[in-house]
Amino acid sequence: MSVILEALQLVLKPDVLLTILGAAAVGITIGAIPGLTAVMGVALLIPITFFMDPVPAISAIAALAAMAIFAGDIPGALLRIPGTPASAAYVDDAHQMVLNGKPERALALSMASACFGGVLGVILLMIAAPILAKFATNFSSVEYFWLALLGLSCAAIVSASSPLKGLISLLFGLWVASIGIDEVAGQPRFTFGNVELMGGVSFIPAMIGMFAVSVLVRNFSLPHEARATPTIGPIFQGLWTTLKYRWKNLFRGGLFGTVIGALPGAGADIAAWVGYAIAKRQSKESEKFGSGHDEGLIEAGASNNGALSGAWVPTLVFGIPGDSITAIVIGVLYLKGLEPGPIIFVKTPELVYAIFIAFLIANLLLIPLGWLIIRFSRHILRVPQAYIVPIVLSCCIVGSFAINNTLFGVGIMLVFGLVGWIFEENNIPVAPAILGIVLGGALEFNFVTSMLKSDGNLLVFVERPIGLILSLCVVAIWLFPLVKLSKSGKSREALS
Amino acid sequence: MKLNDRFIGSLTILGGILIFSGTFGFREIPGQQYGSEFFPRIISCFLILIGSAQIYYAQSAPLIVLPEWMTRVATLKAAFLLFMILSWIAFAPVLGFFISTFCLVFILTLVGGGKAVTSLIVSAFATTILYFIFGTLLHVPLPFGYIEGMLI
Repeated sequence: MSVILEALQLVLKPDVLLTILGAAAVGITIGAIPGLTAVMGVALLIPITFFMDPVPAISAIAALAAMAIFAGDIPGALLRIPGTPASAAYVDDAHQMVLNGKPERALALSMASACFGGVLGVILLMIAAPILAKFATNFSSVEYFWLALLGLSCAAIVSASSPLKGLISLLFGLWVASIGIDEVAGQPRFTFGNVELMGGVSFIPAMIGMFAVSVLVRNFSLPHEARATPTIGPIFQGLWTTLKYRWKNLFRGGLFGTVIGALPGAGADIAAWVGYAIAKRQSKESEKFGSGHDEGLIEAGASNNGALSGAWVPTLVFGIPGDSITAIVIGVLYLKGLEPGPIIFVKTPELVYAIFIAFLIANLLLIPLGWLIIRFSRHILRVPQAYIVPIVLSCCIVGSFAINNTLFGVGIMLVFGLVGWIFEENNIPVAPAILGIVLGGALEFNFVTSMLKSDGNLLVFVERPIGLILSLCVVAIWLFPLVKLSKSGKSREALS
Repeated sequence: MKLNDRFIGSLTILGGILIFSGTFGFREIPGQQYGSEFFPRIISCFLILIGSAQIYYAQSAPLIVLPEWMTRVATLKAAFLLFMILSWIAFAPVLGFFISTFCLVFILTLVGGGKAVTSLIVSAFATTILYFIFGTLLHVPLPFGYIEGMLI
């Protein structure tokens, strides 16, 4: 109890609350602008959090992500342009509602289900994380190696539309992670004699490049089209009645979303699609899906934000990111001198609970800020890309510069922006590369440490029961594309 | 810029070979079987393997296909944006943060189709806000130039 009180004291400070509010406002604006994603918003926020204490820094990320994921529904509903990939699952239903003259209903349902899913996710996170952390204190380097490999395998094989391309992206990230001085032997690797590369590739400029610059290049190149947006009526009218009627969808969406989010390497995008599919399968009116029906919208909307909370479970408990956003969070925690994993629950439990509380506040803020952004959405959507792209680009440049106060960071951002753009153009997912950069060091360190401890005996990896179970999970994931291939009988399409 | 899957596979194999050859100079840890070269070599082997699979399962297509938007003026716009980042890297140490960032935003808004007066206001506003957040509040030593000298 005293830990929760300490956590409350950490969060309920004016500067922390203001930071949450500020980040939430930025997140909701970024999410509402088509082409700007939640991950991109988080990437842009990192250089600023670099100068903050851990609690406001992590709270700001949580608030921005929660808001941006919901706000991505706004351009999705009004323009049929999903603001974030997670909104794509139910964009047809939301847009059809708008075409039927009920834009306020579509957006209000998105807002309420996102808030409910997020709150339910945080509650589950608060219950599950400490229990799992207690269990994880017995883990050795072997289990951490398998966990890291499990997360990376999920991201590369299960989440990616093409397993081969997912693996290429992952291997690229792992190679980038190996650049710099090797922790174990002190050997400089792939530095090409460059002193700036001795410490490795700076994670934040690389991430800004891959997630933000690549998107900006594409947005800047596309021709600008004038957007017509409808007038929004009273937002809360009839909302409570609908939510009461669809309570099953709300609960199921939030619950499944949280569980899917907790799987390493999965995320809000997958959770939203799964939520929509479950809603359709369970519905008595499945034929109405895609034509402005509310069930899929509510369930997938709740899954979206539920997954966002769930992704923090593996992040905080095992140090394995649940999605791209929590991959960034892990990077930030390391920058702050905090090592995510069960030890953080023992050493600084108040910090963990402070993060939970901040997340809860951020999700509750969805209602007032959501109402505001829905009212102003027509104006935001009219701002031309001609002004948005240069402003965001200047933020990217300054943010990359600010990490090490060198122009080298801006160069890294440029190079990784090009790589990210080429990846996206060729349907190579970017997220596995980022997870590879974040987890590559831990994967190698835990592998080499285990091998050194066992005098090179590979059996050490399957000697302990948890290690064995995790290794079987990894093997199952690696066999997944082959099973898919044998079932479909279309080998080329399944793999490529 | 859509690359043929076979071309992507070939690039992946080439990357694997380059990484493998780059590990030959790494020193070993005395008395240990696994040193600095071990992990990069695993990565390179997987790259070669995955690259080969990519080539094997690839569908026949032209080597490089430019998407429709890239065959028009848009290509130049994309290249110009990247050129502007390079210019910022080159000129910021000489001109300082204010002038280089203002020019970057102003030129890009104009090229993107923004109106001159609005672009001017947006550029000045964005530059000042960024300077205030990073230079003043966060004490980041932004590139120093003529205007920054006047502010001190």
